[in-house]
Amino acid sequence: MDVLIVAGFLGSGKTTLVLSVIGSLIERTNRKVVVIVNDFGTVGIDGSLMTKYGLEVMELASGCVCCTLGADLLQTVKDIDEKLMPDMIVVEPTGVADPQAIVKVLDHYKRSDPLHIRSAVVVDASRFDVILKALGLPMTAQVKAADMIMLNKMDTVPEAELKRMEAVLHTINANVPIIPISAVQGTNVDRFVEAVTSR
Amino acid sequence: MITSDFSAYAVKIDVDLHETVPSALLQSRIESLLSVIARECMAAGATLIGHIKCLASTASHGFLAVSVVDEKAAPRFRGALDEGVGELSIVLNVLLYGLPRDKVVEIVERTTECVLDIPGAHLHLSDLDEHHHDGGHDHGNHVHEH
Repeated sequence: MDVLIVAGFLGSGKTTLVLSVIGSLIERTNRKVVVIVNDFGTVGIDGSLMTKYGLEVMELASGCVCCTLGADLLQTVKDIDEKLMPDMIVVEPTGVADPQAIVKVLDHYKRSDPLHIRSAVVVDASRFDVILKALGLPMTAQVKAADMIMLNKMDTVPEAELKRMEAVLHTINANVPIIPISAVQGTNVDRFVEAVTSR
Repeated sequence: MITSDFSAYAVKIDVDLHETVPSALLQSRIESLLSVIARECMAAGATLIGHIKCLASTASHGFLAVSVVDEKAAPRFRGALDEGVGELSIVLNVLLYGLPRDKVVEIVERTTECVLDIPGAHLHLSDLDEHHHDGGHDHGNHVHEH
């Protein structure tokens, strides 16, 4: 079973990306996909929104999926695996989560056919410099943990700026694809789907 | 990215309108609510808006999701409210840096009463945080930037 972690800073567009991508992912691959969403507060916003758009969603509310809710995440993955038997689980943590810590949590889940875990980190092009300046270390950690980087909101910045941001991201993590994308407009969503479905 | 100056406030705002209100007016007020909260928080000393977002739900008249990440930019929204809304439930998250949570709560309460001041409407706010996410948040064994 594939597990895709869609991480990224607050407001980077993770939920919009998931909403943009899942439909075409299911259409293209005929896979069954279940989403796990971790949100702030006892009533989540992102999970409720995804449900309204017809996605199959399990919510982990009021905590951090990469640490305090680690056990809950494992149990939720187990329940989904046993009861729903999907081909893929998409995990959308809060924007403050460390994707590497989530991978470590998921590594504790044992099954005969091991999980194939990948992390897509969503970076907000519209606030790239502001966030890098304010939260350089944790943002760098997120990018370093990525198996693919989605440079989202490409519609909000000039192409030359995008190239500059891509170069900066390459200096942090040189070995992974960086895909400029606009989840809102659907630009390059297919490239993301291809990256997700390729092994 | 929990840092010592991170604050999170999750609140549910129940709006009983008594009389139906045009959906365009409701959408405008909800977008204003998020914009004004963003501006007020920055004016009060916040250093970075993480995400201010809400989902306004109705029983049978649609929904509206609104999102702000920059106090100078217009909110983004998806969904729509149909005409004839009588009751509305808004789940709002304010996630930011540089402002204590109690100050965020104060701004949200004050702004909600002001912006959603629709004649005849009754507002009720419920805190949705079981664990307050602020500088004192315990993140177990791994390290965030504190």
